[in-house]
Formats: sequence, C-alpha cells, structure tokens
Amino acid sequence: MQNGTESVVEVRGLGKRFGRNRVLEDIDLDVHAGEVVAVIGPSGAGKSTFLRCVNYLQPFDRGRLRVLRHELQGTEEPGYRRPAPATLTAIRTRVGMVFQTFNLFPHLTVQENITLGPTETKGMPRGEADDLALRLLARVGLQDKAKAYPRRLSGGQQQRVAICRALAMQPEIMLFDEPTSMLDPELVGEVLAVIRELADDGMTMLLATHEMSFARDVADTVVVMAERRIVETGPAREVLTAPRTRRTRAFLHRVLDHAAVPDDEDDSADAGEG
Amino acid sequence: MSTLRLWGHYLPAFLRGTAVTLELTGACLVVALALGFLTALCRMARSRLLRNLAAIYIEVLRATPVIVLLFIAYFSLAEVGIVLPPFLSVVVTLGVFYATLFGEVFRGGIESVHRGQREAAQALGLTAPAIMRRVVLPQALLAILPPAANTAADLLKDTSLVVTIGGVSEIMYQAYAAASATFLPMTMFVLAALFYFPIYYLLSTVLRRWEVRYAERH
Repeated sequence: MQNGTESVVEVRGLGKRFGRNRVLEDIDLDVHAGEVVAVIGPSGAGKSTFLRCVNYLQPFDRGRLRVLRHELQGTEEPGYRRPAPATLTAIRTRVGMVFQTFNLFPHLTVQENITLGPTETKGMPRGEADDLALRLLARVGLQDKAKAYPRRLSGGQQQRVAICRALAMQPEIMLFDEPTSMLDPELVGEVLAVIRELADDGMTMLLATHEMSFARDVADTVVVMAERRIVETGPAREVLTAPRTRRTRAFLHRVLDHAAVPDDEDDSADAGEG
Repeated sequence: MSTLRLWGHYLPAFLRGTAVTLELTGACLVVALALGFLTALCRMARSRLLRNLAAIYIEVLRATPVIVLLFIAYFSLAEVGIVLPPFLSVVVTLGVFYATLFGEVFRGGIESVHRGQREAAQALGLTAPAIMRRVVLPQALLAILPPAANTAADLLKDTSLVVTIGGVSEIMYQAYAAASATFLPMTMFVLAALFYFPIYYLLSTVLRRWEVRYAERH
C-alpha cells in the first residue's frame, strides 16, 4: 500500500538509552500515508518506547525522526535543540495515541474526556465538541455512556472511549501501544473491531501488538523488534508466514501455533526476553 | 464578679479579636498558598537550580522557630530600614513559613497523580499549564485537601504569636489585655482557648465535608 505516497513518519538511526540501559538502537522506518504498520516482538524489545518517541512523549538520544514534516533530533546529536513547545503541540494534535492502560481522566465524564482535547487545543466551541463526542461514541457503540465516569466502564469500553478521545483531535496518524494487552480475553474483540474499522477507513497507523492474527489481517507492513532493534520489516503476510530471519522465526514460534512456523534448530540460541 | 459575668463583660472584645484573628489567618493563608504553590512548582522544575533553591528555602525555614522568623520580620528588618507594621510582619512571617509546608503538601498531591494521566494529556497536545489546570490539579486536590486543612488549622493557631510583638488586636491580644486588667489569667486565657476551638472545629469539619463530597463526585 505504499504506492508512491509520501512518508508521514520517517525514522533514521533512532536510539535511546535509559542510563546505561539501551532500549532502542538504530531504528529505521518509513510509514506512508494510509499505511497500517504493526510492530511485533517480545516484551521488552522496545516497541512501546519506540511508539512513544514518535509523538515525543519519549525524547530519544540518537538519530532523527520526521513526523508530518516536523523534524525531531536525538538529544545527543550535534546541534540538538530542544523542540519548541509549538512544534510538539503541532505534532501531538495531529498524532493520536492510545495507551495500553487506557489512561482516561477519572475526574471527567466519558464525554468530557473526549472534548478536552479539541476544546483546549483547538478552541473548538463546547457545543460542537459535544456533538463530535456523541458522534464518535455512537461509532463505537457507547453513545449511552456519555455521562458516565470511566471507572464505571469495562476495560474494553474504556479503551473504546480512549480511541474516541484520540480521534476527536481528527489525527492524521494513530499510535496504538498494545491497546488490548490489559484487557480480559473476551473484551479484546470489541476493541480490535474498532481499530480494524479505522484501518479500513484509511487511517495511518502504527500499532504495537501481540495479536498476531490481527496483525496479519489488518496490517500492511509488519515490523519485528527484538532486543531493541528492528530485525525484520516487510509485508504482513510474508513476515508472519515466511519470516526471513531467525529471530522472527524464534519469536513467532513462541507466540503462534508451532506447526504454522517452519522449525529451526537454532531458534533457541536467539530466543530470550529482551 | 463571677467568672460568667466577667466573660460576659469581655465578650465584645473577644468577638472583635476573633474577627481580627480570622482576617489575619485569611491574609496569611493567601500568601502561604500562593507562595506554597510556587515552591511546589520550583521543587518539581526541570531546572536543577530552581529545584535546589526551593529545597534550601524549605530546609532553612523549617529549621527555624516561627517566633524567631517573626522577630526578624518585625525587629531585624526595621534595623535595616524595612519597617513592617505588626499585622504585615505576621502575614510575611507566617506566609513565608507556611509556604514551605503547603509547598510540600502540594508537591505530594501533584506527584500522587499517575504519570499516565499527564502523558495522556500531553498526547492530546495540551500545554503544560492546561495539563496542570485540567488534569493534574483536579486529581491532586483529593490528596491535597486533608493535609492542607490540617496545615491551615496550625496556621490559624500560630497567628496568636503576634501577641509577642503586640499591635494587632486578635484573640490572644484581647485575652492578654483582659488578663492584665483583671489579674485573672486563668479565666481569660481559658476563654481565649474557647474562642479558638470553634474556628478550628469549623475549619476542619467544613473542609472534611467538602473533601468527602469531592471524593464522591470523582
């Protein structure tokens, strides 16, 4: 799906350490408009940290990152300057994010959670924002929860509200940081359905996930991360059914039905939680 | 004269004193809360210099007895040409001292708000002041209210220290004057204590009720 469209996210040589602990090394990636990129890999591989770099919730030290024509640099790169607040606001109002732990505002109703962004950062009038919130809630089947407080909702409902909250900013890119990994198994489906619908509508997405079959069905591109690096990138079906690298095979071997992945004697050598 | 008749005689003076005590407490609270919020922000600032300055400010003031600070404000500053009237001396002293206590209360409350809350607001593009106002403070208030109410009650009682410099006719001053005039310190100072109690009680119950209602709403 990369038919000549421009890169909306361009990552070059991105690296990040926490103290002496390296969490990301030499990450290169292009995301094109309308593309759905799934980031998979073992826990601790750096998926979340990488996603958080894209909207600069997490400053990085090495390399550079271009998001919707805004240039961000690693803090240790020569000539680094802290990004202006206006730049960050410009990026964040156009890049939506959904968190693993939902992070809804507990002191605000569902509707207020959704209207906070547009009213506060875009100066959208109250009434207009309320209408928008109700439309979005209807889309995810939660219109009757507008006045409820988040703690009254199930995890799946909370995550759908969180998606509405991000969509209310009318973002051009959506980041999903393992959106279903905190959910009870029976609630995963309702959240994935919403994400799938967004993908079908042509939303550009970067999605860290452990849902392999979902990645195969919905993603255009799959990026495999292991031990703080990208070890494989390619069309979703190819990567997931005929992985080229040993590490991808090792990872898939552990998470998928063993029969689905070609076995490899050396798998165990590269396996291990990052 | 019986004790009750005596108390009756001095009642108007004590009531006037109560009004002054409330006024004084209010003025001190305004300064202490504002300065305390500023101190909390400095303690959490990105700049190490600001953080250290705030930490030193808190440590030094906390190590000093309030009455020493009051004497510095009233007597010592006058020596170098800054003459503060008694009322203002107390406001400055208690404002500056209680700012350190409120500052730590605010900081504790703000830091008790989960990091994910701030991040979610950042991800929406909210500016730092908007995040503070719309997301962090409303949630921090729940953790701030109970200790802040206690601190405010302590401040109220500490306004009585002004009697050592005189010139402000709050409750303690009225009691002291009455005790001197009647040679009945037991009667008068017990009466003073009785006047502090309802204010203290009101302050703590009103705040507690507010706190409960706030907790229910969220």
